[in-house]
Amino acid sequence: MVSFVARRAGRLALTVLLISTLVFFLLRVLPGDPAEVVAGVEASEAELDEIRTRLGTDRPVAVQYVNWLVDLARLDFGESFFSSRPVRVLILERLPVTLLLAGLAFSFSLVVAIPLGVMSAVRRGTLIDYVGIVYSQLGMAIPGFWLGILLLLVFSVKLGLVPLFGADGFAHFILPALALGVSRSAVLVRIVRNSTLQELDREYVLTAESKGLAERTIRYRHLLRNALLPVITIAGIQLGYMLGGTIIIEQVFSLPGLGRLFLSGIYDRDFPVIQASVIFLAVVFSLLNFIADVLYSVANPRIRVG
Amino acid sequence: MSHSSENSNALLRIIDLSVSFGEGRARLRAVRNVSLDVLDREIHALVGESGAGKSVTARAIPGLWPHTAHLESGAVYYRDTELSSRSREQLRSFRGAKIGMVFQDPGRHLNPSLPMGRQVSEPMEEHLGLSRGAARARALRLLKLVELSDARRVLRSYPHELSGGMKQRALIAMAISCGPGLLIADEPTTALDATVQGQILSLLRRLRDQLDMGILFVSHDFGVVQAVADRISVMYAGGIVESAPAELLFQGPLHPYTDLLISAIPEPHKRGSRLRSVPGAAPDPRLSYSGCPFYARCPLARDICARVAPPLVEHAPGHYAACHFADELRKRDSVHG
Repeated sequence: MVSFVARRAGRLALTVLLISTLVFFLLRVLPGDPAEVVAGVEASEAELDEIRTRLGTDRPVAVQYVNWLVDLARLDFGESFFSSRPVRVLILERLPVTLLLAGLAFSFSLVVAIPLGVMSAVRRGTLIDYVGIVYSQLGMAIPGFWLGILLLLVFSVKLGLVPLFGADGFAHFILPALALGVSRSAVLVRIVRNSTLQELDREYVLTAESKGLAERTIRYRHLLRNALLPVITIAGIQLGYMLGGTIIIEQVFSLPGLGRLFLSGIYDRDFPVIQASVIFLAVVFSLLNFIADVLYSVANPRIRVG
Repeated sequence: MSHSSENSNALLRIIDLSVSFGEGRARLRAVRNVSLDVLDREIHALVGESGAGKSVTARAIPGLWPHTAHLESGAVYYRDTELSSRSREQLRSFRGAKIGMVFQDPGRHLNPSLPMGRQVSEPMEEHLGLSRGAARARALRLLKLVELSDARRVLRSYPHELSGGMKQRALIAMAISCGPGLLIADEPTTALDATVQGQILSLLRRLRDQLDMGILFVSHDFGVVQAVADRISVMYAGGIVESAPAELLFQGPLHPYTDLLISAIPEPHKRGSRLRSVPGAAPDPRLSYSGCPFYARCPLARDICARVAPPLVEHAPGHYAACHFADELRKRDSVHG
């Protein structure tokens, strides 16, 4: 287990290094000078030079890169070009919003996908199966932002059931979590259904029947345990995608989360904010995969990490 | 036609059972008018090639036929209770409680994600209303009863941590946990190597004596059956072609198919001699035919065999055979044997 964690930590460090390098140079190659954004269109060349010196973008790219890496190693993400506040503070301020959104969306997708997927498989060819199939097809086909706008139109504008803007109450998160969760749960429904169908044909199900166990017991004690094993891994990846999905959904619902910070960072050519956001997402994604792997090995007695 | 009419106190009684799969032209008749009895404390072996309908028959008893199969005719009695008219759900109180089942390939028939203790205790919690703790204590005794040396460890183990023989013993412990009157063992030794095979067979015999069970023992292997059975019924193409007490059957089979199967048993002292098999294949179970199903492969076949299906007739006390020329075989046996 210790060596497993060490290996994964090493892999994480390597991933972060690669991604940070990629983002760093990509930003320098792309057109757009941060100093121009900071100073505004009417700034003189002298003013721009001064700003470039302050931001450090006048130095050779290699020097900027090394400096940034050294800071990164100390977990110092630098200051925002635009607001001059530490990027770490900016991220920590906005993290709760994004975590709440992604967490809600993820819970929603599991709560829908597991029962629906299992029932679709067990009651194959019945109404519930068709509901499951239609839900997963539609859910995968409909883009989250469109669903978000639709939900806003119906539940906020027309029906007035949920507030339109803001992030100061739980109610504000319901619609965005739905918009974000539906497409992910649509994917999971399929996976749960297929995996359950596969397990239904396994011989141990016949043994359980031959013992005279109730159908519920067979389903929940025997079948589900095995059917959900592959779901653990995929759910971990899905949660990662969901964090990426918050970028668009936060925009649609005007939620002040990480996604909006990231997006405004891109508009403003705010290099430190973009770099830190990308690294943050990469780390979270890797950690989620790691957690999913550990959970998988806990749930599956045949796999022991080590 | 049933040999069972005199044994009205049979433990298990199958009367004229027919099971088929599919409809219309694709209808596949897997089991054709099978009747057999298992008496108290009897090990009744059902032997035949794969596809002969043995497993379908065995699984039909506690209502576990595949969902695609349907019962065309027949009745199944466990003591005085008719089973075949009951739903799968209604038969639940019989399965595991009064009728235990052991399968081929124990590895696949155990849940890979549940510890053995849980799996062995389950039926006792379900049928005997035992608490978890009480069921676990009994599970430990059961594992010792099936001669698992390190029962405490097995209780905590997952199936993949056990050998094939250990898994089969645990599966047997599970099947007998509620003290069933009947144990259905469907090819219980086929997936095991020869040494373990012998151990499992003697275990089954010992459990029969200790627990007063009848056993329906399904196998394709006449050698295995010889070692364990009190009575043998031979199945061919979905029907029973011969049924007799084991000694009688081995002394003088009255059906040419049985005769061929017995002579095909490899003899350990004749190493190097060729393994014999019965040439040809059973008829397509989708076809209907009027004559003897064994006609095409039978060394004794004559014209009548193609036209008229021979009924299962009692040729000697307790010895039934479905062959027009059973008496010829009998005379030959008495001359040679």
